[in-house]
Amino acid sequence: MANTPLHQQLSIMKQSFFDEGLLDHEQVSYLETLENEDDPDFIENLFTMFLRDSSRYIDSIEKALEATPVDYSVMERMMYRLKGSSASIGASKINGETNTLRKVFHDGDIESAKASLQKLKEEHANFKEKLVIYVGMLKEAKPSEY
Amino acid sequence: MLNLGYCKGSMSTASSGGVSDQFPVGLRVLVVDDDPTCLVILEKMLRICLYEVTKCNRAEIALSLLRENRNGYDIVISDVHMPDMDGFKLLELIGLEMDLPVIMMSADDGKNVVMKGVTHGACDYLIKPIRIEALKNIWQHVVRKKKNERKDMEQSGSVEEGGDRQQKQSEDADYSSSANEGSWKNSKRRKDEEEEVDERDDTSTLKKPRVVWSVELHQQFVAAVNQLGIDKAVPKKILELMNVPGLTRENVASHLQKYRLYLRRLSGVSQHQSGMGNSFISTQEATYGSLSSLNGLDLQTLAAASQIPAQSLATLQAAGLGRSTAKPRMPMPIVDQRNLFSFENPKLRFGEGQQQHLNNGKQINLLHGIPTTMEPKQLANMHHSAQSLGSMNMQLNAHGDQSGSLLMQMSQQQSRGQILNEATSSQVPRLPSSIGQPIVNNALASGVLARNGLAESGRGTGFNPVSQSSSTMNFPLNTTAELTATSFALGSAPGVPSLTSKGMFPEEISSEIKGPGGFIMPSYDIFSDLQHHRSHDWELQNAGMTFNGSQQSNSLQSNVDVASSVLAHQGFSSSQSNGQGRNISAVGKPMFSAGDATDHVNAQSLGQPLNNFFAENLVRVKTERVPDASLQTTLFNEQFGQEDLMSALLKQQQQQQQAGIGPAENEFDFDGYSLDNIPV
Repeated sequence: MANTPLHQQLSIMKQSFFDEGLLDHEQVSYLETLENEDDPDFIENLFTMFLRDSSRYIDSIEKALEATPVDYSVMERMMYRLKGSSASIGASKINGETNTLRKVFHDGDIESAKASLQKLKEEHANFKEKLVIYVGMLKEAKPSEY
Repeated sequence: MLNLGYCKGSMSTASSGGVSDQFPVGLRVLVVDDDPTCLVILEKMLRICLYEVTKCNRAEIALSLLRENRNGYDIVISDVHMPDMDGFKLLELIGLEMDLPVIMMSADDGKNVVMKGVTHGACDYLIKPIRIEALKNIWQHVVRKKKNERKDMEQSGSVEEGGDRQQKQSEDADYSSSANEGSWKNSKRRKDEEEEVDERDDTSTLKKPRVVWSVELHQQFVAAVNQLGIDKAVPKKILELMNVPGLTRENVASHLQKYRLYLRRLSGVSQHQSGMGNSFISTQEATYGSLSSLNGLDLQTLAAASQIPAQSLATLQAAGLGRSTAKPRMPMPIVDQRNLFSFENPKLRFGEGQQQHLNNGKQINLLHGIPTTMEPKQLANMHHSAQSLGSMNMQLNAHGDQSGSLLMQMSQQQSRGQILNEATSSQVPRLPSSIGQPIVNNALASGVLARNGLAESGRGTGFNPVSQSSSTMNFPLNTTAELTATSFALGSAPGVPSLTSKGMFPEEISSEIKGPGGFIMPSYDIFSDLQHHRSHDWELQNAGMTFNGSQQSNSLQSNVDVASSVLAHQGFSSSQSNGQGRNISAVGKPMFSAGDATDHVNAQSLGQPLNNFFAENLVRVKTERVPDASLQTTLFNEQFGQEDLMSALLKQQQQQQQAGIGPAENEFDFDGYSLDNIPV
């Protein structure tokens, strides 16, 4: 693999994800092993997909929580999906915040759930911002590899 | 053959049905998960294991795929939470119908959930994030299952079996018209038998003649069990009652075992469900008197057997009695009905016929109608649907206000979450909320649908029409006596967006309607024709199949507008040109007027086709044509080879839709959440 400045930047960025606890090192490394020549865009697509879906899930959660009455089934489903998808790609902080939200919600405290949701949104926004850059770099780095 | 548009590397000609020499290479896996990210990762890992993977994001789609190609998969992996159906229910259905090993997955690792998976019959339970190691050995479940099945068959008494077969063969030979045919049959049978024997001896192969428990077969089974009484139902007697050539006692025995498990689980679930359903039912309970056995089914027995909540049973009975109730409310039953309905189409037809007679000529409240039709099937379906009903019912009930929903027929629409509570609803004071119920149960419907062998509900939940219709069936059906179970309950409860809003509809509408099997069109024509003929004054019509399209996908906005205007007319205006009092009850969005149907139809989306079918009978009842692709009131006319239509319809839809990928739920403005982006 080429060791261009771009790749170096990628490595650094990836490492910072790990260091900040945004991504789980083990899970991401594992996912990378699944990528191969036949599907070089695997990780990139995965991240892109997650960003898209997680944004939707969070939007849905917000709407469900703001609705009167609160839409429980949607909440449950969205939180569950977010939990599963964030765990699958190693988005640790988002996964953690989702779990917190779930717990608070199950406890029945809607106000706290809303607060928790805000935290989740912040984490998500932060993660998204960085991941978008990372994915962009990944795309850029691709052609030079092959 | 199915057009698995989105099927990746799938289905190898599943028809081959066997395992390659390089087993487990090529193991055909169907993976079901509503989260795209997880689905992609799983697919990737399974491919690395050299398995053949088919992805699916809806339980209903999965069931369709499985039903359409019964021998096309070796194992199923599904998440426990699906929008259109509870994962455990899917698990049970697959076990009952296709007898495939199912692995459950979950993002939760609570002991309770894992236990639930085990008790529901999952052969394994994986926690996300899943690693490839967990998937590498899933083939063992396939082998194990086949071995067990073979053992069952052998134990059952091969001698007896062989004897029976032989007898059958010779008998058949006697009846063959031509010598050639006869000899061919004989030799074929002999060959089959030999192969069977060979298979028994060869334990290494996975090939094994597996009895496919089709909807009809299962219904016969259930009928036999009910007749005998669940406690007294022994395989031998069931077999005798069923009188299906080629079926062995072992087949029945193992199926019975699963069925019992299923019932037990259902009872646990139904009790748990309570909620709205119960509240509704309880009031009715008092009103209803003796049980009426419908179509030879002993409700009591069924109820006892399946442990249907008393209230549900009461409701069902009441339904049977129908008309007598002053305030028919179709709470849970409706939902169940739906399931019942779809599940037992044949029965339904049966029952309906009877019901219809009863109800014919009466202005029956939709409510009344519903129960009636449901009965036979309901019971059957209740078992199955009970589980999913749980939350759904609650939801539905909540929305019960949509009397229009009764018009179940409209139920189809519901999927989109439309609960037509249009102005017309005011007309139907009688139909209380119940409508909401049927609709919601997409999940149920899905399951039921599957059961009917209609399968193909290509469109995710959207396809619930079938199931939904069951509930709706009752309603309008009675009046029109044609209500085929298919009436789909519209009015998906908002709470259950997933159910109805299969994003698909809106998107697919235009393309689908036209193309496929022309189902769509015909129905409309029929619809108009019917309208002319029917002069019933369906209360239903007024009842307003008003659907509240709000939930509907955004794309249908235009339809909605049309609908609203139509509705404004009071439901009679069915946009259709039908001059007669066809009250099409502008349900929701009467999108298609018979005359104009064509255009609209196309726009409508898949759902329409179904609706069309039903529309025929339903038309009368519900003119509401939900603009969305959702099915219009699908009062499926029994007479129309319901199942045939359905399958055709489904097939169509399936083709339209990408294989296995249904639209994302339409909740909260998710639009066409498709998996198209998944890289190949």
